[in-house]
Amino acid sequence: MTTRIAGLEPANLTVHLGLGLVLLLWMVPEAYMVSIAMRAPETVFDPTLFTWPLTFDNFVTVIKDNPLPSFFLNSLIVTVATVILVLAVSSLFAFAVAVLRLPGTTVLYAVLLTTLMVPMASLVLPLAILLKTFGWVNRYVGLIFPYVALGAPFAVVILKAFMEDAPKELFEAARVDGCTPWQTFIHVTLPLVRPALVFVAIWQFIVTWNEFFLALIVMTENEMKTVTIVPMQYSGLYMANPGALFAILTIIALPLIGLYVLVQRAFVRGLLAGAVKG
Amino acid sequence: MKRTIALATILLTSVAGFAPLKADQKEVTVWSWFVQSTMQNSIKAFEKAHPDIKVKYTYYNYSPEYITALKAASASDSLPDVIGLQPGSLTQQYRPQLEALNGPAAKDWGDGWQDKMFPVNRKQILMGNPPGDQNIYILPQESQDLVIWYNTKIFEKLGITVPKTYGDLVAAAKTLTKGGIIPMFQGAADGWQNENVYLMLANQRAAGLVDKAQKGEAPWSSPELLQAMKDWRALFTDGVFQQGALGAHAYPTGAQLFSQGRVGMMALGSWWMQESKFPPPRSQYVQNMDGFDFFYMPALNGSDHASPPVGGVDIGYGLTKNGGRNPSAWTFLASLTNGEGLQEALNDLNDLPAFVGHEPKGDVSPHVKAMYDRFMADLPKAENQRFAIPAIADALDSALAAVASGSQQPEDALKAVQDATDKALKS
Amino acid sequence: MSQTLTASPAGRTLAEIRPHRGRRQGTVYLFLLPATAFFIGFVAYPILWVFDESLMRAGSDGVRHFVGLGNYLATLQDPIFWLVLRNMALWGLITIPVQMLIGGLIAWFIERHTQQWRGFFRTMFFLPVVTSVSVVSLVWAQIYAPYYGIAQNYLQVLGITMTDSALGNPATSIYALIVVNIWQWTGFSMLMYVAGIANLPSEVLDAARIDGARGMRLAGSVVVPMLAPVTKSLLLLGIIGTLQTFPIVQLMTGGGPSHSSEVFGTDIFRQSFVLGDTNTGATLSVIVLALAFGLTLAQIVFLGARLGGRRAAR
Repeated sequence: MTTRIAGLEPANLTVHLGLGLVLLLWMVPEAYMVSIAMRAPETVFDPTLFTWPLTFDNFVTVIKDNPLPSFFLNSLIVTVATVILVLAVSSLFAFAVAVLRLPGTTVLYAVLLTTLMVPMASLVLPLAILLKTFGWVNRYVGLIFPYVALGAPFAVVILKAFMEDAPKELFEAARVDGCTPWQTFIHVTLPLVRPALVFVAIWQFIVTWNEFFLALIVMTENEMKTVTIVPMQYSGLYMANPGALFAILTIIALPLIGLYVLVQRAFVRGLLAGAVKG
Repeated sequence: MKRTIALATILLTSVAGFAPLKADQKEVTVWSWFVQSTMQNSIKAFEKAHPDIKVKYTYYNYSPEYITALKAASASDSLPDVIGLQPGSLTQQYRPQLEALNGPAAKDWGDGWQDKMFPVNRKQILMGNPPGDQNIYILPQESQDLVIWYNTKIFEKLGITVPKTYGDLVAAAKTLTKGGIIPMFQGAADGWQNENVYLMLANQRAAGLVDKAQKGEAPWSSPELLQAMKDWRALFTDGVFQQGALGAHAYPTGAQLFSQGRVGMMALGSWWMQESKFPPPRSQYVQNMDGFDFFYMPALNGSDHASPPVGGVDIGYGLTKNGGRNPSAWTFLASLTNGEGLQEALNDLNDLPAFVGHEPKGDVSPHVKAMYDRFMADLPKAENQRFAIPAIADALDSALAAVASGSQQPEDALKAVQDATDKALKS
Repeated sequence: MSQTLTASPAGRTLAEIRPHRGRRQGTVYLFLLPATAFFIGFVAYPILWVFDESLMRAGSDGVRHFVGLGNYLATLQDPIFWLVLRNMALWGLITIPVQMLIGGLIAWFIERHTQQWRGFFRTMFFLPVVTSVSVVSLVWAQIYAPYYGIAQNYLQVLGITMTDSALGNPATSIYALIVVNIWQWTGFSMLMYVAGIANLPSEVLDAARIDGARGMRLAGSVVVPMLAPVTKSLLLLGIIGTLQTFPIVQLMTGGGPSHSSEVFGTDIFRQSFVLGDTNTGATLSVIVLALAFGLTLAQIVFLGARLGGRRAAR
């Protein structure tokens, strides 16, 4: 037995050090963001990663100046509703395709994948016209519905693959037991694909929370704005004080990072269980 | 899952039924990229004078946010009552959705109202209109004069005097660099900053020639414009601009470094004075603009005079068709461009007025007042800085970047601008 | 589960359901309905709108008239379009394999050689994925800046002087952006491979645990092919991501200098929003759509690539 440091064998210690070093490099931009948020105006663009002294003034300023809680609430409403709807419509759809079977799934699959690749810039104008027609500008639904439509294909693809990999015998047994398709869906399929649902939910949460292009054109009234468009709203106000801008950016980034840290186990479990099969 | 679906249904019905509250008051909606804090002051002053009208302002960054929101709203016929505009291409893009303002303006301000506008503004607000269309779709609020600002305290410390010739400018840049100061900060990743400097150069070589070229009345290959393109390239190779300028942005990076005394010079405009009115903490240079003064691009090689003032409308506002149906919208527009709203903007030193007879009030230091007066004296002589057709401005931006990086020769770059101009004027 | 939620009576057997195909199809239809409705309303309709615009041209008076394939011909003759195509090819060909390689290696070391720190590493490397693009763009511009940037500050120690910003040089701008993309998305590849490696049969991993060259070779010849399904998923996602590229380029270079870093997203944006030419923007969108469809079919036909599809891979 060779000597151990911190409970690690030398070979493993090397790996840890190596990973740590790469990570350090990888974290430079993240650290830089927080560092700028804690700088006074005169040192904001100093060419160093850290400056001294640190100040929390920027955080105080932006929290005092801005109705951040209401922006967060808007984001939360839009994001949670989107996640729930995406889960509902995509699991139903995937079930119909994967378990109940339908001819022509390849075509359907190709269409879904193709629409995943359309740049958002292409869709903004027609969506704006559509939402205006429905009177959904500055309404939560005006954001939620397009997000659901754009998010569902990815979720369908994941859930469908997952359901197809589930043992066929279970579905057969359900039918023999006299379950209707709906009962099979609720009692057999959904519990079976739970890890994949968790994965889809978390991913959809991240994507929806960070989206800003569509949010920009749908939410034109300040009371309705979501949190990702706030930095652009206030970069004019803090033109002379980028530290404050970065404080806002940090405040916005932290909840998502915190959330991810909390759910990362479930997220990885979803992956491990085969949301994306190895 | 059943519970989830039920929850979703409740959530949906509740959000679908949600509508922003409409007050009994009359309301005017305004979108712009105009500094939010200053606009709030203008709105406060307006609402005080008109207690029955409430103004809702939405601020956007100019690009990509503002132009995206405007285009989407215009496509879906949901523009607000009043929108911030620049003369020329931006105004022309939305002309079908804008009301002509000649009538209401003449009614409120009398028939001679246009004479109170600075000449360059008068020219710019009609830019790009179809032949014979004398309608005014944009009412200017503020004017600007493009200059080169410099840090007086740093110049003094390093023993530099205001450059009179291009040779002086290069020498000053060398001294600044040696002293650990960024010589002239150019945010050359921003097309607008490059256009501004090129216009200074081109108008020194031949005043008004760019204006002719964009109308197709003179070739872009004219010797003066070609020479200006070479002058432009020289600013990079002679070390006047900082290294890596092409990857840099003027805002927030350049402005921040400049205001904190890390930069010697920067090509900006009269709007730079507003830094002194931004909320504290302010640097010793920005405080009352104590550390700043400006000069015009000094005489280039082979030239015997500095660049003339270049500028025009900084920002103007248009009344949309939606706003045309809301009588309060014109009331606010008039106040914002030529009334108590404008006064607040001027008090914040946001920029120069578009109409004569206004000046900033309140806490203005003698130094700022002196600079303000110099700007106001130069403004009537200003050459036009705006483009009527976006495709031409876009082609010029591209050409300037290509020449700056050395990936294209000035002749070839200008030929590309000429091609774009021919194509744009033909369609 | 209560029966009221469904139209079909409870207690039916499989044998009873089968003959009534019509009724069963009806139920299937109901399952498909919500997603399809969303899709038609908010994806299919906008695409049709875009297609229609691509065949039209608005005159200076704002009136549209039909021009057939005129917009397409004009677009294909635009040198910027070919520059965009080149940039997109570079983007996909570089980001996808590099992210796979770095992500895969990190995943391998995390999964095979860490215990207590595993969760920490998995989380930290993934953080850039959840970081907002506005932060990423501002921070990286500052890193690249020569003279007053932070990379320069540390490179100085090594005696290296940057004379130019990689973002500002037309020859390098697209690569500088690709580096940022790799930084942001490698964590995603890493996590996918983490899942793949954890799902490998333990015999394989025990064999690969052998020290030295033989172990490495084993890993290469056995593990890499076994991870092929993950790799295929990443390829598909990578292509999606490539065609969707927009915010990072728009915020950092705006497609410049001189269009050298223009991608489909920025070009569509420039045409429809900056130049106000909705028709050309729509034409570009349709071209992207056709390209995407072709790439999707190619993947299904040649690779059997399916997100998460076990069956296709084995």
